[in-house]
Amino acid sequence: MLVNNVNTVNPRLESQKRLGQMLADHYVGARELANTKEQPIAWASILAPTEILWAMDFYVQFPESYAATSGARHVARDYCELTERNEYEHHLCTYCRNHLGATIGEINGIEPYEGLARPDFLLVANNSCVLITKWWEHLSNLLGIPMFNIDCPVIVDGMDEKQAINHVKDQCLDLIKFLEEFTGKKFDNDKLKEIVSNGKKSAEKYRAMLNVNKHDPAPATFFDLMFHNFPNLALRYKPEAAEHYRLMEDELKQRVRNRIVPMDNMKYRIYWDGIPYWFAIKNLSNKLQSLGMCLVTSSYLEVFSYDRLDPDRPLESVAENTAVSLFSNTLSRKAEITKGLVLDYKLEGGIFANSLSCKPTSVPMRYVADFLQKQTNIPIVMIEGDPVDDSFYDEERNYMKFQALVEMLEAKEK
Amino acid sequence: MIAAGIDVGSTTTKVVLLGPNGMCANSVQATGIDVVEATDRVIKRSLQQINKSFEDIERIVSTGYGRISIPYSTQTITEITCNAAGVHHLFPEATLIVDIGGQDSKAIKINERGKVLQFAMNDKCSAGTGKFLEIAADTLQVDIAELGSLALKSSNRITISNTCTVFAQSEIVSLIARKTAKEDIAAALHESIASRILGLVSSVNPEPGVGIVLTGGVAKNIAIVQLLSKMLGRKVLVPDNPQIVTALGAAILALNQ
Repeated sequence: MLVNNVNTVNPRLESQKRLGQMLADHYVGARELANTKEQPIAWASILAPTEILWAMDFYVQFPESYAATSGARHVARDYCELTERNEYEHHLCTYCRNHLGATIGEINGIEPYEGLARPDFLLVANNSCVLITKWWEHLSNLLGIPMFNIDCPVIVDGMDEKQAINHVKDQCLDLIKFLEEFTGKKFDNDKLKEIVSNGKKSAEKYRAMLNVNKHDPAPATFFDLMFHNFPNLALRYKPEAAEHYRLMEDELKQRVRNRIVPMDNMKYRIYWDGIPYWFAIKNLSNKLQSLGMCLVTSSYLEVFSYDRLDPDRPLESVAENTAVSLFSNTLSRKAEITKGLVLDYKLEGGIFANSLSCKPTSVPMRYVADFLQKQTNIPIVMIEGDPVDDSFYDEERNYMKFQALVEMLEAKEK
Repeated sequence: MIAAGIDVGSTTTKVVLLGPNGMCANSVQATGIDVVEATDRVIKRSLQQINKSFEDIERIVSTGYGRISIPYSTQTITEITCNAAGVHHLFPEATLIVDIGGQDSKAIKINERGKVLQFAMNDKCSAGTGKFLEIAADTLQVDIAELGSLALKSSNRITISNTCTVFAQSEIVSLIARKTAKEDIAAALHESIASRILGLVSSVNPEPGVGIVLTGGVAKNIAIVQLLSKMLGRKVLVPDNPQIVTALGAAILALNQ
């Protein structure tokens, strides 16, 4: 540990160990169930109405989250290349290419490819992008299992979001009917209520945990926090998720009290936009630290907030959670949310991480960055890369842009 | 006191020496594969112009992609900031810069003090850069220094449909095979570059009507200057030696350290 005049530096969060165990248990648990068949397994997109699957006793895994893990483990390029060898296009979303590759590898017994545990059912919502539905269709064909799509309209300015919520709710009712026939079991509304109640607690505790980072200096960086979306994503139906965030909130508050900070040389509070480049986190962290930039928060964390859940109206709130997400709203709403983050967290600059293979996250960036600069006057740089494909990543050029950002921040101070 | 600015680019390395009375020497040479050797060579050439030795240089700022490789620089600063400082020195009223180098192009918006407010770059693509013109000149078998004047002789407008440098080269070969006039091909290539720059400029939200200062080696190309002015609807100012503006900015920042 290094000690400066005021703060103690400790980059490690204790909560990371607990998270690691939760992740391991989740993946191992799925593998066991694939063998024992005690529970059916489903793959779902991250913003699908997963509560319905949990209420029908499905064990749910998330291919998009798996892609992030693959990127962080540096195995994504192999999976992506396997997909391309099977004649899929190079410029497809790399989350899709990664997961299709892992699945194709596993189906064909190609060592050492290991995908998620084999599912019985696929659930997707197109609220994040349109391609995801096609991705799930390909999975359905590859695995020979049924797939259900929840269509989510974009909520444009002036539109009553109730229309979108009702549209999604109708489809949720269809989904329930389908699953009752598929599993031969009756849907349990009481179980749904309990699951939604746990989800609400998890979402509230997630939010409380994130809010601690408003403190200056921040007790953690965005890179420390971002992996902790997993409990809210995959485990919010169980009390353990809320408990994890409660403990994590306590830990962060303790760090604030004891003046423990995540890095040396914390000069500037910085906003990150876009999906992280999962394979480059360590190098990015080192570089940002050398320049005195602490990533404090990101709208990426908002994607996993699931904050519309309400046990007093379980099914409707699940539909609302699905229908009203960051992605399904217009650019102007995303821009306002981002501005809110910059002001609430007192941020001084922004890094917008373009993803060459993800158009839904990248295309809005220019609009949001322009809006932010005009509204808040913070300097912003755009960097290039991809969440999991390191062949799209130009380290030197991105580092130059980080340095340019610091020079703009220093010039503002003078 | 002598301050030095070293701009280590992927294609050329530029050095500017500043003395008490302003710029006293400058030199530009190919970078090659050894960045440090190239820098040593260019500094030596510059010092010879004013009959000084390396020990007479008190401060050195290095910039450009090779900036961190120079062991004797006292500070490294990005080419964005250095370019802005150089332009501000030459054109104090300027607020909008376009820099077209060998392998990248940039649009930079600065304030009245020459500080960078916003910038945008082309990334991972040589279309819209000097490399594009270099390859085109080679394919057309024309001296790169004459390519701009050749383009201005065009009387028949055609378009190069490919935005990729490599594919555009194939397209040039096809056009030549179809007996398309070289000047028309040259004009289309310049238009292709200018249209890429248009996008960069708009992304830094320039104030309406302000002129552009064009820097970088490609600024010496008369056709690019005229096309940019026409397509952007703005006056384009070109420094006397546009290729060394970033190195000049680095030297100014060294002097001000």
